[in-house]
Amino acid sequence: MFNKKKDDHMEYESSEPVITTSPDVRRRKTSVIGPTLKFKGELSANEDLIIEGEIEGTIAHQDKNLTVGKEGRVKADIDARTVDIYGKVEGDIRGEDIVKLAKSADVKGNIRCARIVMEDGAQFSGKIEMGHNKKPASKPASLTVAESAKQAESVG
Amino acid sequence: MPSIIGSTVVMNGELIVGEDLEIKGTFNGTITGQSQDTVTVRRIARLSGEVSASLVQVEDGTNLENTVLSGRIRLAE
Repeated sequence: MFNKKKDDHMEYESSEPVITTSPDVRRRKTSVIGPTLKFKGELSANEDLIIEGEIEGTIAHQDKNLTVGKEGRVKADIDARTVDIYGKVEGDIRGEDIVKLAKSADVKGNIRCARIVMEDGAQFSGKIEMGHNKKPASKPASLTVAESAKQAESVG
Repeated sequence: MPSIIGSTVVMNGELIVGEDLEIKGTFNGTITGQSQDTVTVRRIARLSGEVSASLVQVEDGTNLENTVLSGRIRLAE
């Protein structure tokens, strides 16, 4: 148990298994802003995003996962489905699902999310508002059933 | 892990790069590479502005309208 071999994909050390970057996430379509990159402006994306560099401006990143790595420094409001923070963030964070602050995280701003995990040692200055953060489903289930029936008709 | 601007990413602004960068998404603005960095522009990328790097690698068929490239430029298949 204590001599557990480290996963090659793991980038961040954590004494607790609470906050990890799973290999599944790595396999998904992901954009990476490396540690030497500095960006000033507007950024939007519809895929997972890992920020290890510096970003100043706005980040519109709805429905996907955003990770601010240990080296990451963000001065922007963040809007994403899940937000994992290991580095520094100055700005408001809205996580549709969960916001995780690792022990190395340093956050100055307000957090609005459905669930939050804050590791021992994480620095946070701001207000947390929880719940009622989920967006309505894009399609009602009945429509999907109707569509399936239509497809079955066309095939049959 | 190299830096990648994925196909759904849209960036408007100024980017300073100190490592290799691959662009598949949309970038409007200025990209400035430092030292020996390579900026690779994929065919699906949409660029507008200026890209300056030690080596700018552009995939054949990339739309470079309204884009100024500077540095060593290489066309790749």
